[in-house]
Amino acid sequence: MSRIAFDHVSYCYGNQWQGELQYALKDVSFSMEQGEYVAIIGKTGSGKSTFLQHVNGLLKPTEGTVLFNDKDIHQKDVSIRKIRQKVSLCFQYPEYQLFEENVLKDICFGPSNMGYSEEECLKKARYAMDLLELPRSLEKVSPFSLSGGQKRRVALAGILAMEPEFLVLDEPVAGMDQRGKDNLFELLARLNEENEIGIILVSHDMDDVAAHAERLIVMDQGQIIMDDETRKVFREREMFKNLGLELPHPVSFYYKLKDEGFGISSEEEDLPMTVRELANYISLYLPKNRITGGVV
Amino acid sequence: MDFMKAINVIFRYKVFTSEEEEEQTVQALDDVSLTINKGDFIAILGHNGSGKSTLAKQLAGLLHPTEGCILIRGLDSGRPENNITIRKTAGIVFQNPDNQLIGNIVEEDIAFGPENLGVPKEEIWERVSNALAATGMTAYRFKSPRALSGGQKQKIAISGILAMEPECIILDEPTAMLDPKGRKEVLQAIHHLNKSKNITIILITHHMEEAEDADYIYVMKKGKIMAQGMPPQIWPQHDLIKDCGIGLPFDRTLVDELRDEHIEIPVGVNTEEDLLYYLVESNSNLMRMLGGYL
Repeated sequence: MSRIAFDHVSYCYGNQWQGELQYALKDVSFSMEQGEYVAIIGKTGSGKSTFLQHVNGLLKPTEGTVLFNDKDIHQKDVSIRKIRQKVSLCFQYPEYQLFEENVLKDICFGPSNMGYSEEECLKKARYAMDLLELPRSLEKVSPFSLSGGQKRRVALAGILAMEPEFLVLDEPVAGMDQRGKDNLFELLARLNEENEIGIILVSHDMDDVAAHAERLIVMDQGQIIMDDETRKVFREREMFKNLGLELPHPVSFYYKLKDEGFGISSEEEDLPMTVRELANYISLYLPKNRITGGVV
Repeated sequence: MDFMKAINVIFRYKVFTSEEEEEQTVQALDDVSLTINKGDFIAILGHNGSGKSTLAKQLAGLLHPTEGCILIRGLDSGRPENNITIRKTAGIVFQNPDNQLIGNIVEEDIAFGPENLGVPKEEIWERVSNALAATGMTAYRFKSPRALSGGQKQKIAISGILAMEPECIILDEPTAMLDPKGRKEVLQAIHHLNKSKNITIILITHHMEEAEDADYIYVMKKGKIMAQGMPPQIWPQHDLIKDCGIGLPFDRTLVDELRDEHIEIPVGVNTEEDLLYYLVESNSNLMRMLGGYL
């Protein structure tokens, strides 16, 4: 099992000789195992993207070290290329990076850059297309004539064709409709559970984060201010308010119910992470109508 | 005379593959008819690929119907001589703010439109000031668009359209790339324009929440209009909306889940607040009843 770790990582930009040093990351320590599903939240400018770019060595820390399997990835004897194959980064709007004349060639680009033979590349590309449920009939179609949702799946297929151990995604469902979102999250869950791919997800949508990630990291001003089980993090109502971050809908509705005196106030309960969990909780304290099935 | 009217519009286009002999035809619009009145706030809901953006381009005169016709203030968009008048009627704001701003500073960017229309210089500056005031962006007049947040950039793009004084603004998923704060800012600005300046708004989106305050809603799927009506007529049709690939707002999903749990939710409970108070009250009624027995 592979492992990613940050050991007191800081990253500065700006001119250090003129004294206007800005910290985009400040003393960040973190580690995750291959099978984990982690989400990172924080306001625009909190350092999330800088964090992501350190994970596979696109940026080099000013201080501290980034480790892959306990080895500093910026050491001379470590092949950064191999690391980037194992830790794939999917930027926002990956479909803007499509460029080849047809879908199959585009998906093959990654593996062929890694030096695989043409036959192996095709095998890997088709494997990725199957994962994303892209039909074979699209192989020869130009990626530019596809719909937005299809383009994004082709771009993701290009990443999965490299058979990564970690998948790092920056706002992967931005601009997608509900069905596209559901499909993508289903795919991520499958990759995480069946293929044991570690997932790092950056998102502004708290409902998505609550429903899918097991572990949640909250960033502010370049620092990790909280790193815990998702359900526990959303207990910090005050912190979310102070940071100007929203709570997931089910959580905030749960708190509103509690504030109005719903249920039994003294009990320490698990927070609902999905609408279904919330409905289950509410139904404990309400009369049920078995005859009409709930429709009056 | 109707402001905008689509009559049985069909639109097809060709998709090219790298092997040229295989040519596929896609039908993006399938027998679409609609009427839009001056000053309306219209929402068009649909999933990615449902044809809603194609419809928007048709209404702005950027695309022309393969069959059927589109009348903008009675003018047929299929006739080349009507092009200029039609394109002056409606302006489009697209999804990605970074692809729409061209000026080095905000006021330059907004002046670009009216300048191209040949508006006299003094009037251009007046229009720029008015357009900035209307979206609440006056403070950013001399800033570089690059230094702005996504929501602010999108409001500048809207101001740029406003400065050309169109009667209608079409917004094609204007909030898709924005964070929650930017999303709210842009929606507020659009509603303000609709109410205070009587500008017709056509908002294309796949967020039901954004369509909540519209006067009239069209729901699209596979190039067809599946449903239309005022929000209270559309909202109860949960199955249809889900079938069209659109996510229900949180409170509607909760109502569905509660009904699955055999909990009665009266039909009149329509907002999150209503739902909250209904649940709290029936909970306290139950507690009181149980309390009487204990």
